[in-house]
Order: sequence, then C-alpha cells, then structure tokens
Amino acid sequence: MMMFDRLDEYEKSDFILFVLAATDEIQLGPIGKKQLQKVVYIIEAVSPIKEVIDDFLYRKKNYGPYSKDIQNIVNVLIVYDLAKIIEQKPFDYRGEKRLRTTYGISGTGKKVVRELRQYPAYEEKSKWIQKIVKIISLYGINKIVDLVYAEPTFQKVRKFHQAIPINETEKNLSVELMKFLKEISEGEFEHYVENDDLLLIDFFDFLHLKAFGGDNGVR
Amino acid sequence: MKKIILPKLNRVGVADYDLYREDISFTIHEGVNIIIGGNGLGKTTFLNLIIFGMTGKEQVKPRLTSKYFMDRVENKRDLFPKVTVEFSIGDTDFLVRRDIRTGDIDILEINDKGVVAEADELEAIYNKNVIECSNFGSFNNFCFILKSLLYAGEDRKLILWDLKTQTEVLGLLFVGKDHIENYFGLLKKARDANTQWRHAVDDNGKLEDELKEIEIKRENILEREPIVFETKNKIRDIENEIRKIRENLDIIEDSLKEKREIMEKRAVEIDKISEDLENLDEKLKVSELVVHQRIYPERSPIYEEAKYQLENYGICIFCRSRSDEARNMATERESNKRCIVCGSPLKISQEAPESSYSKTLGEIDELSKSRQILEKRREELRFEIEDIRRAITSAKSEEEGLRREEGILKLRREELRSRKEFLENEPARITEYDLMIYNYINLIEYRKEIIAQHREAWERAGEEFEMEVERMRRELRAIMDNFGRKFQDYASKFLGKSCELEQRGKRMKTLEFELPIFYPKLDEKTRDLETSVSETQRLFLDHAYRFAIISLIFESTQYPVLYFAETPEAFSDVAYIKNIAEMFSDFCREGHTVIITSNLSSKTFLSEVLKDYGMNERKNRVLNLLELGKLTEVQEKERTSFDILLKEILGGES
Repeated sequence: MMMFDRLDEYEKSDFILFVLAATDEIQLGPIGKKQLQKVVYIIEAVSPIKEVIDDFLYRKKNYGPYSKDIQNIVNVLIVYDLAKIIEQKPFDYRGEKRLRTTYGISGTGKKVVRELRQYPAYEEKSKWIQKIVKIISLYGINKIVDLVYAEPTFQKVRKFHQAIPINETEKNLSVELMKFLKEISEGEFEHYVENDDLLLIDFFDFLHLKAFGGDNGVR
Repeated sequence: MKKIILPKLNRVGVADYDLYREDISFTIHEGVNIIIGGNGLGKTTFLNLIIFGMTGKEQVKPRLTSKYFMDRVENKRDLFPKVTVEFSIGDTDFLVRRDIRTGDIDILEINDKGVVAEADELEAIYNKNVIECSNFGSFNNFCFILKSLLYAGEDRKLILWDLKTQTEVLGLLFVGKDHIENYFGLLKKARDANTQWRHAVDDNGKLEDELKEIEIKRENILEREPIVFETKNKIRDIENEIRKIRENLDIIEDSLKEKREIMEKRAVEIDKISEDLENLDEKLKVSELVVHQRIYPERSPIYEEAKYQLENYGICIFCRSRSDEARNMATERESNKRCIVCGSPLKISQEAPESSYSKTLGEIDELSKSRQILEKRREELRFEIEDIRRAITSAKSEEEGLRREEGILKLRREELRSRKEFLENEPARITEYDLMIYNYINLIEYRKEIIAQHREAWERAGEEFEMEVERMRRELRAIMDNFGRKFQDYASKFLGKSCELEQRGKRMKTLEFELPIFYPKLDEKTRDLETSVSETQRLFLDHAYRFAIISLIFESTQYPVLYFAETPEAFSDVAYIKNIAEMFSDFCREGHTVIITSNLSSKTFLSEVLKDYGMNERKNRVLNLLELGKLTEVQEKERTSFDILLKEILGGES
C-alpha cells in the first residue's frame, strides 16, 4: 500500500508540506483553511519566474481563489500524519454551524521535509517558498486576503466559479507586472536583474500599495 | 451683263368657263390693250387666267389655284374649262392650253410645233424651254418676275419701297448665275494658286532644315576620333570593376555556403540534445517517483489502527461501536487486499531493496549533472546559430549590393559598347552624307524655280479675279446709272417735275461688291418711306420704277415685254391723269404690250391712252366684259350709260 501512485501528486504534496514547514519555521503560527489556499495561490502567481511550482486548478469563489486539489492533499497529509489540525472551533455563519480549522506541520511531516531538502532541486523549491512566506509574514497573515484581491489575474476574472488562468504564462498578469517592475528598475540598480528577492519585494509592495494606498504597512 | 428675256403676250383664249357667257379669244396688240368691265364681271380673273396659263401650278406667291377659278362659277360639273395663252420669249413662240379644273397642260406648242407627252412631262418640257429661252436660273424665278415686276395688281403691292423684293428682282435680272459662277471660279483659282505656292515654300523650308541636319552630322563625325578612344578606355575600366565584383561575390557565396552547412550541423546537434534531454527527464521522473515513495510514509497510522481495532475487537475507532458484521467484512476485505472502509483495491508498492534505492539516488545525481551539461551545451549552440544567422544576413545584403552594382556597370558597359560601335561605323558615312548634301542642294534649287512658277500663277489668278470684280462693278454701275436716268424720264413725265433715284449700296452675302437699292428723291428730299409721298405719287412712282427696269432689259435684248396694270386710273388725281396716260404711252412706244383693266371710272384716262390709235384699232384693243360677263341687276339698269361711255371712249376724236 502506498500514498500516491503519480509523481505530480507527490510534488503537489511536497509544495503544501514546504508551505506548512515555512509557517512553522518562521513562526507564523497556525494557518487557516482559506489562508492556506491564498498563500499557495500567491506563490503560484509569481512562480513562472522560478519554474519550481506545480499546477493547481483555481476557481473564483466569493471568498477568493479556491482549489479543491489543495484541500484534498491537506486531508491526505493529515490522515498520513504529515500535517495536523491545530484547532477546530465551531462558529456561526449566517445561522449555520461551521468549523474554523487551522493547520500545522506534524513531526513526521518535518522529517519528510528534512529528507526532501537533501536533494538540491527540492531544496531550491523549499527555499523559494520560504522566501515568499517570509515576505507575507512581514505584512501579517491577516493581510493575505487584501494582497490576493489586489493580484491582477484574479482581479481580471469577473464571474464566480470561473477558472483563474494563473498557470498560463501568457495570461498570468502578475508575471507581466513583474516584467514591468524589472524593466523600470534595471535602469536604477545595476545588479537588480540577478536579485529575485528585490523583485519579489517590489511586487508585494505594489500589491499592498494597490490594496491600502500610501503606507506600505510593513512591520 | 446678263441677257434676261421677258415674255410678250400675243393671244388669250378662254373656253367653257362659265364666268363668261361666251368663249373668249382675245388677240393682244402691241401697245395698250384694255379689259373693260364692271365690278365682279371677271377683269382680275381674266388677268389671273393669263398668269395661270403661263405659270400653272407652281408655288410662287400669290398662288393661283384651280379652286380659286372654279369657286367663281356655278356650273362646275358639265364644263371642262380651258385657258389658252400664246406668248413669245425672245424668238420662241409658246402656245399653252391648260385645263382650269386640274391645272394640267393639255396642249403645248413651241414655235408652232405640238409637243406630245403625258401631262407631267409636258409641264417639265414647258418649264425647261421657258428657262432656256428666258435665261432665268429656274422656272420659279420666271414666275416670280412675272408676278412681282410685270403685274401691278389691284392689291397695289409696291416694289419700290419693298427692299427685299427690290433686291431680289435686281439680283435676278442683273446679276446672273453664270456671272456668279465665273466670279467664284476665279476666286477659287486664286486661292488654290496661293495654297500651292505656300505649300511649295513650306516644302523647301523642310528640305533646307534637313540639309542643315545632315551638314551638322557630317561635322560631328569629323570630331569623333578622340571620343572613340576614350570610350574604349572606359569600357576596359568597367570590365575590370565587374571582374572584381565577381571575385568578391564568389568569396561571399563560398562563405555563405560554409555558414549554412555549420548552421545545419548545429541544428541537428540541438535536436539530438533536446531528444536526450527528454529521455533524461523521463528517467529522472521515474527516479524521483522512487525517491518520493521512499521518503513518504507507506501507510496511514490511522488506517493501521482502525484495521487493528476492527479485526481484533470489532470496534470502530471513530464512533467506538462494536460490530461483528463490520469485523467480518474488514477481515474479508483485508484478505482480498481491499480497503477495510470502502472495499476498493489497495495500491501495493513494490518493495525496493536498500541497495537499489542507493543506486537510484546515485542515478538522480548523475542524471541531474548530465542534464545541466546538456542544457548548457544547447544554450551555447543556440547562441552560435544566432551569430551565424546574423552573419548570413549581413553577407546577403552585401551580396545584393554587389549584384546591383554589377548590374549597373553591365548596363553602362552595353551603352558604351553600342556607342563605340556607332562611332566606329560613322566615318564610312561621310561619303554618303556628301552625296546627300549635293542632292539636297540641287533639289532645293529646282524647287525654288517651282515656287517662282506657283507665285506667278497666284499673282496672275489674283489679278484676273480683281479684274473680274472691277468689271462687274463697272458694268453694274453703268447699268444702274442708265437705270436712274430712265426712271427719271418716266417719273418726271408723270410728276411734271424732276424726280431722281437715290442709290444706296447693299452688300450681297457672298459677293465682294455691293448691289444698289433705290429710293426716289423728290424736291431734294429722299423719300425712303412709302408714306412720305401721296397715294397717287406712290402708285405711279412704282409704275415708273417697273417701266425703268423693263426698259433697261429691253435696251439690252430689244425684245418687247408684257405688262399688266389693274385699274391704274382708279386712285389717280384728275390733275395727273394726262401725265399718267403720257407715261404709259411713252412706255408703249418702246413696243411693249400693256394690258390695262378698267371699270370705266375715268373716261379721260382711257381716251388719253387710246388717242394714238385709230377708231377701228381701238375696238380691237378692247375686250368688253360688259358683253361677255354676267351683269347684276344694278349693272343691267346702268347698261345704257355704260354703253354711252364706252362709245365715247372708242369713238375718241371722231
């Protein structure tokens, strides 16, 4: 008996595990169901410049972009004791009882991440994800909703339940935006081109500026 | 100038015409002839019958028709009325008998010889003979003169103040068709001669131009030797340049060929690398799957615990219930290698030995390294291809430039070659040109003589034409002067004092000279309107004018003429009666025939005009319609007084 029988399923699982590991390592604290969806979405939005992330299919929901795959993988990870439910709180949603669930990485999960990081390709992926989660943590996990809503590809999709073409490089407007940021910055900084970190910071700064105006809000 | 001959009437016969009680045969005598009758007895009809007999159905106004004559009679069915006129034009005697009802000629005799033909043909023969004898251009002209000049009717239509009729009459009588033909013939001759002379001059001008061109060409050939030498040098230089360009082109072509070959090789290499990379990726995927299966846990701890609890104790770990049925199902599913919860077949991993796993890790490492090397190489090759492609493009544009340059040089070489060829052949033509120049000079000289001849002919024709114009002018002037004198004679006789004709020129449309028109001049005053003289003066000045014209014609032909005057005494002032009678008698003395109609209103006038004739002769000169016509009751009552009056007139001096 085994967990998956296809490599791409394992790679998606790697992705979620790296995100949960990063939230643990930079002490972001437990991450909610929908927050996890949005963090994974924003990492995918900027992924084509690094080409390390696999595809999830997103649809526009009334609470932002949502992918069934992500939740399925999270469920499998919990059953196989690689992730854990930190808390499950009931709450009232328009007269209906619902559960608010937060997730974290388990000890077994941390062991798997450690083992994966021994391979250079996986290590690079993991570090890239860690970098983005770190930038998100600078704004605070609570602002993830606003940052995602300011993301241009999501903004362009008008209808609910419609697929968001974030994985199609030509239709991914964040990639266009980052190319633009790169172009205008190249004239000002000599080594900007080689430094992806600066480009990422510029990108998130732009999203924040769009969502909140003047002050960049970085703590 | 033109010899127009006017008709003279000899006899008139009317038969079977119901207006008159008897057939009439009236012989016309030289001098005065009088038709006497009351109103409505057929005096005017008698004159019209004469004219109808002579002119027939022609269209000149006032038109006479059969209907006009037939409307005047009561018995139209049983009778076949005829009118016979015997007249002469010059030496030719005509006898024409017309059917009054149809207007057709039924008897035609010319010089006492009967003409036998159909009615239409008779008319044509008659017209033709009249035209020939009278010298009029057409039968219409003859009719026009008869009706306008020779017939002074009761309508008192004047020609003296009627400029149109006057010009037409004078034109017809004094400027004939043959004169005009002669005039235009000479004019055309002069113009043609002028055209020929001008063309000859132009032709010679062209010849002189051509000669100049040939002379210039000849001069040029002599100056061309150094140019030929220079052109040869230029051609040699161009050929050298072309050779150099060809060499360069060959080099470029070789290099292009080489570059293309390299590029093809590199492309093949890239394809090979891409293929290898794909294979590597496939292998990597397999190895990575193995690695994942190794790293990730094989079983879910929860599933294992649930299975254990259910199989051993029959307890569900999620709801803590006990169920043997569930335990049996779980045991059965487990033994069949199915999921104890949902019964689906379990995915079984192939246990890989530790040694093979280590081998996989080594493989991944190796594969990744190979992959990096291949990718680097592929990138290098792509850059190289890009460089070659740029080099090819620049070589191509250089090649194109050289080819263009070569094309231009080749064209220039061709141009110079043909020029050289032309120049080399030129000297041979000098002899040819010399001969041509000689011929041209001779031809021009010869043609100069022809020009002189043409010029002479032109001048001669011009002179001839001018002489003819002058002659016509002179003749006309002489005629008109004579005409003026004649009018003066007649008019003065009637007025008892001098009356001249004033001439004014009227230019005819097509001729070079003017035709005169006339106005009477009385008491030093030109009477250019008919209202500027009294009614009697107007009427008899018009008669005088007509008499003058007829006299003039008579002077040139010596043939007396027929003249109709309807009731001339009717409007005459008693004081002028004698003068008028004297004017008529004067006119008759030339031998003309005058037919006067009268209703016996002026005994004096008739007595005066008949005074030259003896008593017997007078009777023959009178046609008494009081006897022949059908009198009204009033006229019948007055018959006696008419007879007394007539007797007095015919009795005359006796």
